[in-house]
This record gives sequence, C-alpha cells and structure tokens, in this order.
Amino acid sequence: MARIGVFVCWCGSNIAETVNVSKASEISGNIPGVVYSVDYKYMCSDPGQTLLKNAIKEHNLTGAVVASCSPRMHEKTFRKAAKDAGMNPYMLEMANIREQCSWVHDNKDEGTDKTIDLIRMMVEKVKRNHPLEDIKIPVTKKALVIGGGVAGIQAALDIAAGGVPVVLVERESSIGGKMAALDETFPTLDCSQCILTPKMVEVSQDPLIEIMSFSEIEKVEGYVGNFKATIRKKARYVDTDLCTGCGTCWLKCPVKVTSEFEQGLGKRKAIYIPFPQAIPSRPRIDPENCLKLTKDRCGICQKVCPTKAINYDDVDRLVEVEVGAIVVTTGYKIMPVSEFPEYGGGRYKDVVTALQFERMVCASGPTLGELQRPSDGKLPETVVFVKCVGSRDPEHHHSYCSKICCMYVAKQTMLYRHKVHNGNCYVFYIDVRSNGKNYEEFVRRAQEKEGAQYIRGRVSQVYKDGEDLVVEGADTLTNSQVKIKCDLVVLATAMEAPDGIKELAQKLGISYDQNGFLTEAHPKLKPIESSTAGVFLAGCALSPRDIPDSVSEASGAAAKVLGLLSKDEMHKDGVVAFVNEATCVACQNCIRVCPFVAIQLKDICNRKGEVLRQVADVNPGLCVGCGTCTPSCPSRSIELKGFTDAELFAEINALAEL
Amino acid sequence: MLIKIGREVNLLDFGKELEKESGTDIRKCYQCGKCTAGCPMNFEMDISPSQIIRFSQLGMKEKVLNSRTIWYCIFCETCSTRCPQGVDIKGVMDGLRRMAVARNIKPKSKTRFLEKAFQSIIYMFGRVYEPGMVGEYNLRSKELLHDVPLFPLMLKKRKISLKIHTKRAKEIRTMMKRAKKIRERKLKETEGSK
Repeated sequence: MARIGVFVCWCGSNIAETVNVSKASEISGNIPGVVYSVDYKYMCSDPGQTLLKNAIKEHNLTGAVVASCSPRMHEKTFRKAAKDAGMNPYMLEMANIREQCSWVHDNKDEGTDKTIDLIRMMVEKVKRNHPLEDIKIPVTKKALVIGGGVAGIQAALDIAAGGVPVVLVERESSIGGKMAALDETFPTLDCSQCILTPKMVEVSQDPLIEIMSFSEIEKVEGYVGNFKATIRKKARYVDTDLCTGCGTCWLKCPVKVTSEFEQGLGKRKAIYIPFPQAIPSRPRIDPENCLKLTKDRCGICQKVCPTKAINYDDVDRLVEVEVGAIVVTTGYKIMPVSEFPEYGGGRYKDVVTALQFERMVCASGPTLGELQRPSDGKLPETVVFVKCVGSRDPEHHHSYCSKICCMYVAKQTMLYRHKVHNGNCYVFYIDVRSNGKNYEEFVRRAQEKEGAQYIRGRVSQVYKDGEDLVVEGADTLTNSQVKIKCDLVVLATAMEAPDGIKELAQKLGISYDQNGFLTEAHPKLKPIESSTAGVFLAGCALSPRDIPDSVSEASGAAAKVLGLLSKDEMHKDGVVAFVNEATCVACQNCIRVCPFVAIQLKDICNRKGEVLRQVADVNPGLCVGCGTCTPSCPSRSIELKGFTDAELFAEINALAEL
Repeated sequence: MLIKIGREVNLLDFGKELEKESGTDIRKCYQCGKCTAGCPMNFEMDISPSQIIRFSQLGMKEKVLNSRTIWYCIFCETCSTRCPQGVDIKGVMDGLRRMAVARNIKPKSKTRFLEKAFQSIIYMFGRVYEPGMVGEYNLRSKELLHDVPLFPLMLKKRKISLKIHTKRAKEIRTMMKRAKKIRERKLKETEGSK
C-alpha cells in the first residue's frame, strides 16, 4: 500500500500570492494514498529539506510529491534529500505549481484549484512509480582533442597535466593553427610565435600527449566515457618515425608552389613543413604538385634523404583510439578577399586580408618583415584598413560581429607605423568594440600616440586609379563622402566556421548554428559543454573570440574532462528507455528516430546459440531519456523508465476524473 | 542645431507612416554610412542619405520632408543594394516624396517640372513623346534654350525621334483623372484631420 507525503511550498510570495497553499495541502491530504501533507515557506531551504527527511522517516513514506518550482530547479535537491532519508530518489516527483501555475495566473481560487489538480496528478504517478537505480558506466581514462590550434594545445597540456593521456588530432601537417601565422598580439604587442612555440614544444615533449598531425576524424562511436574514434592518418609520403627533420629534402625539391601558411604571399616546396618551428617537424609531400607523384619524374627527395624516410607508395591509414572524453577546438577560417568584388578583392593584388597583412609585416614572413605591397613590392605610404567586412552585414554575408577585428586592426595600425614612421594609416569603422582587459586603452593608444586616423563610416567601393587604389567611403561624423588615394587596402574580413565543421558535428552528434559554429549546451551556465555528454567545446569553434578567451575556455574544457575522467565509473540518471523483448517485432522504428544512436538490434538465441529472432536493444550509456522512441513504437514495446504509459495515463486520468 | 524630441514628437506615428509609404523598416539602420559613401548625388544633397534615415528615426519629419535630398535622389538603388541591414533607402526617399506631396510641400528641385511635363505628355498621347516633354520642361523651368543645341545631333544619332506614337491615350486619360480625384480626396481628408 502506497504511503505518500505531499509537501507544498510557498516559495515566499512567489506561489503563496496566487495559491492558497494551506488549503491545497489540506485537500491533498484527502487524496487516497496520501498519509501526510504539509505546507512550508521554502521547501528548498535547509529546514525545508529536513522537514522532508523527517517526514519520510516518521511516516514511513514510500513516495513523495513536492509541489513547488520546476523540476529543472530543485529536483536534484529533493531527490538527494529523499535518498538521504532512505527512500529511492525516483519515488519523489515534483508538481510544478510555480512556473506552470502561480506565475501564469492571477486568480487565487483558480490557482488553488489548478495546484490541487497538479498535485493529484503527481500523486497518481508516484503510486505507479518504480524505484530506479542510477546507471553506472565504466570510463576510459584517455581524452581526444580535435584541432591543434592554441585552444587545442592548451586543452591537451592541461589534460595531460592532470595525468590523463591525450590524443591531439590536427588536420594540417603541423600544430599551431592560426596563431602561428600572426606577427604580434594585442594588447601587449608580444610576438605571437614567441609565446606559442614554447607551448608547442611542451606538447611534443609531453609523454602523455600523442600528436596525430595531418589526420582527420573519420568516425566516432560510443558514448560518454567510452568513445571509439576512428582517425584517418592521411598519406604523408614521409615516414615520421624514420625522418629526422633535417631539411635536406625541402632544400633540394625543385617544385615551388604558393604557400597556404603564408596566405598565398610566399612560396613553399612540394615537400615542405609549413613554417620553421613546425611541430612535428616532419615534412609532407603535396601529392598534387610533386613531380614524382604526378608525372613519375624527379624523385630527388628520396635520393637525398639520409634516413630513407620517403615512401611514394604511402596510403591513408585508419587508426582507432578509445577515449572517455572529447574536446573540439576546430577554430575558424577567415573570408577570402575574393568574396568582396566591390572592394576589388581578387582583382587587385594590393587588397589583402588582415591575415595576409600579418604575414607581410611578420619577421618570419615571406619578405622577412620588410613591408612590401604584393603587386610591385613598393613600400606602402598610405594604408587604409576597412573593418566589418562581411561581418555585421546580414543582407549579404554574416549578421554577427567577428569580435576581434577592432582589436587587431588597432594593432596592425601600430605595426604599420612601427615599420613606416611617417606613413598614413586610416581606419574605416562603424563602432569600436574593445571590451577586454586593457583593450580600450590599446585602441586609444593607436589613435592618440601611434597616429592612426579613425573614420566613422563604411566603405562603398575600392577602385584603381593608375598605380593607386582609391577608397570611397563616408565620414558620418562630418556627414561627408571621403575619398582616399592609397597604396594598400587591408580588409578585416569576417571569421567563419571552418570547412568540414558540419560533417564533424554530425559525426560527433553535436549541434551547430545557422553560421556553422558549434552550439553550447547552455549559453550562460554550460558555455563549453556540447549537447552530447562527454564532448566539450572551446575556442573559435563556438563563435569568434580572441586568444585569451580561447585559452581560458580550453583550460575550462580540460577541467571538465579531468572531472569526468577522475572516477572509475560514472553515474547516470536512471531515466532511460527499455524494451519489452517479448512484444518487440524489430520494426526498427525506434532505431531510426533515436537522435543519440542509442538503440541497436540484438539477437535472441536459443540454447544452441541459433538466432531465433531480433529485438531492439537500448544502450543505457548512450540513452539520455528524451523519449523520442516511445511514440514511434507500433507495438508499445519501448518505454521510458520513470515515464511509462501506466504512469502518464494515471496522471491524465487523475486530471480527467474531475 | 538643437534636436527637440520627447513629448513634442510622436516617433511612432511618423515611423509607421514612413514604413507604410516606403515598405521598409528604418529602425534596422545602424548608421554605418555605406549609403552616403556610394551615393552619386550626394554633392547636390543638403542632408546625406544616412542622415535622412537618422532624422527619420528621431521623428523629425519637418527636417526630412523639407530637405533637398529627397528630390535629388535619382533612384539608382546603389544604397539599397549595398545596405548591410537591408534598409530600402531608395524606398524611403520615394515614400518621403509622396508624403511631402500629400502635405503640399513644394519640391526643392526642378524635378517637379520634369514630372509635370512627363504627366501632361502622357495625358496627351498615352506614351512618352520626348521632344514635346523637353519643350514643356524648358517652358516650365523658364530655360527655353536649355539643351536645344544638342537636338540636331541627337536626331542624327537617332537618340530622339519627332514621330508621335500614341497608344490607348483615352484609357490612360481616364485613369489619370481618377487618380487625380483620389489624390484630391486624400488631400482633403488630411487637411480635415488637421
């Protein structure tokens, strides 16, 4: 016989103002099966919880209904209290009389009636509830970091510092990401490579970190604590174990190709490392340009290699790794100038992206830090920077603000003025957004001390007048049109989600927004968790952000991973789907609708091991209890524990009886 | 200049009327100035296109309706095409013109003569007859010999023709009469409401 207690909460005046709580608790006491009912000012407070615990013990309750706020708020609190008092936590249910009653009504009598209905429903449900147990899942103590930019590097280092082995997968042949291509960083103007390369070296020296460069994620299976990732190690044509990175091959290679790392401004060889500090410092052969691989000629690199590391017959290899948690730090790409024909992008060589400008002034860049404009190598005496190119432009490109352009443009004006002391530099802006530590001061410094002239307005077009470029814009502060003859135009183009992010998100079962950036589980309280348990996000994979934000998020994700992998087994909510194997006909409807790929077919065998028939089988580790499968089942064979048909119909009947 | 807003100006009324007349939402504008930057007629304007939108946002209808700008816009749509926020600036100019006409505000450019000439030629022939239209424009604007030296050359190059084409002139005349009546009625109504 059920012995149920009802606890009605006032929530101060939140509930008590529109609901007669004492009347509700009094009437609830008369519902069959209810042996104890009480109202209290704040059930979630410490005395409130003690009241619940004492009542469970004194009245020997088998179930409890707490009528208060949404279960999203305090279900954990009350279930924990019930557990402490010796009751199965799943025998406690909450009736939401705040969000679903007092906050949406103003008539006290009606509110009270509805409260009693809600309590009656939950009492009927609790009567049919079964004690459930938390699900225990063993954990693989290894992590996978996807993306070897500064965020991925930081995440890998922090996870390894906690004693957990890490696999760091990078698509390019070296880790380092975009930060490795930058010259100096705002707001301190310290050299980007000087602060990044020590971290890269640390990664390569850490015995717990395995770098898989020039590799991509092929497939991810499994669930939190037990992922199985298949990684495609793309054909590199160089045996990284034999190779010593001596550099003879790329010195002797006769093929010169445009370098991706130099943003198309410099050259590389067909066998190459992207930049001198590359980690791992092992070259790869670019099969599209290598003479041996395209025309079966040359073969010089193989001849000169002292360790015989070159293998022209190399193929892609698939490697499987088992990990407990995944961090996605896939970064961004920037829009190419060719997307902006009105600014002469793609037509004029001297219209460059900010990342190209970064290479043009960088001491390790193609001109070794000597500023030359791409078309004729002339020193640019007047430079125009254009902000919000592709950003804040919902009609044509992206509606979002790329966040970092305001800061790096201020920095680039300084870099320019440090190279060309009497050069003119103009910046077209709409708003200056400098919301970071020492950021506003930095932008003021660019304008006050470093001589950048800011012009408030957008640029309409860029065209060529003889040797010069002419920028036509507006100055909205004086309400006039502006024409600037200049030598170089730098476009602060928008940050975009990188290529292949959607495919990766689908492999991982995580969501992305309309711009292709990955979506966090909650914008405020779960900013680095994805919608899939055990998959964490950091850096520009989420949305445009700067280096400090990316690094701190990466450390945050690492803390989450270490927390998850600190236990030998994980406890998971007992609300999962289960299959009645006697009635399941293996129609596979549930398998098709399950968004978490948690259901598979299972063979039912006789004693001899012959397969008699198949039934659906739920993997409790993967199931999140969303309930999508239950309505899809034509034979009602799949149900959700804690939300069975019997329980839900009891609720509806309790409501309909009146 | 002192901008007096608050109780004196009802922002919503003007905004709603402009939205109805122009078919675009001026609240979207964030004043980047791209319309002004590319406007080929900006040199003739007293207020730049982006400022027209700004003054409209502030509900300053006297300022915008009495400006030269709305009459010097040539509807090339450079602004509307480039606007990052999808504001149809050309539509705003058009709407403001109509609002000005409805309030009997005299246009600030000679465009009004051209429009008058255009209308009377259409009224006569049902189609455009360019020599007649130019002639009437010159009469109205009191510049009788304006562009006349160009005439023979244009004739020679067949840019203009003396031949008169007419097409369903009667029906168009009826249409225009009705439109005139409707406009007069509307004008009375607005005057009555004042």
